[in-house]
Amino acid sequence: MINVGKIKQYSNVLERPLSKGKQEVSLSAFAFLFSELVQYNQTQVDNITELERRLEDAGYAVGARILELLCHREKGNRRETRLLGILSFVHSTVWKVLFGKSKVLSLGGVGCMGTSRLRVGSCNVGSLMGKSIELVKILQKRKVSIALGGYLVVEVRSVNDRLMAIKLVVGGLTFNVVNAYAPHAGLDEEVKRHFWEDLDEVADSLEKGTEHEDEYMISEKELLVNRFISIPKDMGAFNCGAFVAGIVRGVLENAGFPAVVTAHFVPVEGQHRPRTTILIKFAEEVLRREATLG
Amino acid sequence: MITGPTFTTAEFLLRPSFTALCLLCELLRPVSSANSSRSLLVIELNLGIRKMASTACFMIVSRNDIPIYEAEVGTAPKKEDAAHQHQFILHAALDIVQDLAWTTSAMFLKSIDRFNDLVVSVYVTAGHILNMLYIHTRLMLLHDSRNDDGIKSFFQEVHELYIKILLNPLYLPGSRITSSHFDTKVRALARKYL
Amino acid sequence: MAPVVPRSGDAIFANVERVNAELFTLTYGAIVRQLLTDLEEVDEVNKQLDQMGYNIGIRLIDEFLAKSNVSRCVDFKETAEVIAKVGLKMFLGITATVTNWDVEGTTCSLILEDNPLVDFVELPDTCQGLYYCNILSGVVRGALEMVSMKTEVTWLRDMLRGDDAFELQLKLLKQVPEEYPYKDDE
Repeated sequence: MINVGKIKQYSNVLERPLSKGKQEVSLSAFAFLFSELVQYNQTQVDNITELERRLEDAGYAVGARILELLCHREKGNRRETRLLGILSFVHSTVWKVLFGKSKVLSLGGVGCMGTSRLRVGSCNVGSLMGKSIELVKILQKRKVSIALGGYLVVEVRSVNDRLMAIKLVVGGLTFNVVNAYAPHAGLDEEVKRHFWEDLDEVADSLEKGTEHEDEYMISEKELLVNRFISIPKDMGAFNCGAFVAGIVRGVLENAGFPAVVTAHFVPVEGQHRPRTTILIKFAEEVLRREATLG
Repeated sequence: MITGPTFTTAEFLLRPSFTALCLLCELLRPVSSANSSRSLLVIELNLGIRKMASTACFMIVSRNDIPIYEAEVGTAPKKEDAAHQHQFILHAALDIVQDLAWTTSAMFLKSIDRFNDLVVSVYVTAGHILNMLYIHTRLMLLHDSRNDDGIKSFFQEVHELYIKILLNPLYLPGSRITSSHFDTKVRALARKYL
Repeated sequence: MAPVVPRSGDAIFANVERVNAELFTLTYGAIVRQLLTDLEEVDEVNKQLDQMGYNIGIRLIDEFLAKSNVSRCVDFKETAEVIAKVGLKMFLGITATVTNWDVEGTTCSLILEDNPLVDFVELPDTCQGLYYCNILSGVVRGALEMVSMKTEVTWLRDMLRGDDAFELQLKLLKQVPEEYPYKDDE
């Protein structure tokens, strides 16, 4: 027998250096593998909930490992101790490594503790693309300095260049602030029409906005795992995103932020395929700890 | 092993000294039978501690504060009761870690607790946790040297080894690390850095 | 008609969409873990992995033919080369060496030069009989069956079991000539 294998022989896995994370396989190889995962698990269950739970479990095993690996490799051994920090870790670092791109996160708010004063300010942030976390951090920093003991986190939605909605929770009251940059007179009718339509939409969505202030969402136009799976009609709302939800839960829970994480389809008007939203609902203890950390 | 009951703040603050007291009694018992003089006892006690401090105790703590790996590393011959006392001190330090870990994003927390000559240093990995219900991993070391850099390097290299163990899909996170290779490598690292 | 068989899959691999290999490795690990929990018996897990691979193989061949422009392979020998240099590269980004041919030219070995399925895997004592990469043998078997080659694919050497390489043996059992070369409806 001839030995032509190039794989370096290590006396055992511990000798092998940790990978730099640069290696790739084809997307279809992953797609085939993932669809086998789904099909196998389908044979093991008799309802959708159970199927999603099993996919979530599989994802969890990935998440638990990826947390430790990425904190070591990408974050230079810094742990995340704060809620926004770990969320940012999930939607930037984890998303980037696993799915090749980082994700803008829409944030739910965190309830305010004790009495607070409301400060309204205005700041110019240019394009908000990918900067919602930074903005929240700035807002949070400002608020903490005034609202002693209590603090505000807000939902920030940047609709387009002209529209932005912020949700503030102050002393149990919810404030929705819509910041609009109206088109000036010289612009096309088309632009103006768009603006007013978008504004209407924002106003509508605010009404059905989440009332749960411990919830955070990662919204994805086309989640990697949903790209190659078409769901048969009889499987209803089954969402393969449960696997990704599991990864997110694995990362969060192991980092000390236990949460319930679920994947949902959200229909998009005028588009055939719905978006997938990963909904993160943190456990009470996490919010309590956040409050004491100030 | 200190697990189970929850402590009030007052009790919590008292616990390290309570632990120390227990340890003191442990040490005194064999000595007091042989000596009657109090001053002698103290000397014996210091000697005793120095003797056991020449070996460092290293522990990886996981789910529900259960140690998933422990090793007495160093040059001195193994002493059954010394090992027992080391673990006692390390367990007492767990409580301190739980609070401390949330105040910093650093993994290496040096000298978080001490008992006479012995110092507890801790390395909290990304997968740590405050709540005892979940998996967390902390590397703990009881040592007597002031060699902070060496200790830090030791922790970092063991951390890397631990990641490799964890990446194995057939290893269940939070279960005991049984790999003999792991054990060998940790001991070699201890010889190198501690 | 000279067969136009690409000698390497590098160009194809460079052009397909790719994902991080760690996601792939860990996902595969999660699957194996699930099977071990569900099926308990290591032999059953081996079988299930092979079956999953087979399912993949029979679907994957279409994509392979479409993307690789492989129109036909002259013989089994060439087929093995195409798997080693084009097929594995296109999907997993790895290549293999074809070796150990028997005199009849019906049995050979693929020796993998890398294996993204096994990063940091170590078989615990309880899983000693496990063929961790058995999905791969299933894929090859399934894909070849769709191009009318009945084969037996087995792991001769497995580094997870202490061998010095990953060696996959392909044994041609039966070739159905009238369905060869590939037809459109495959």
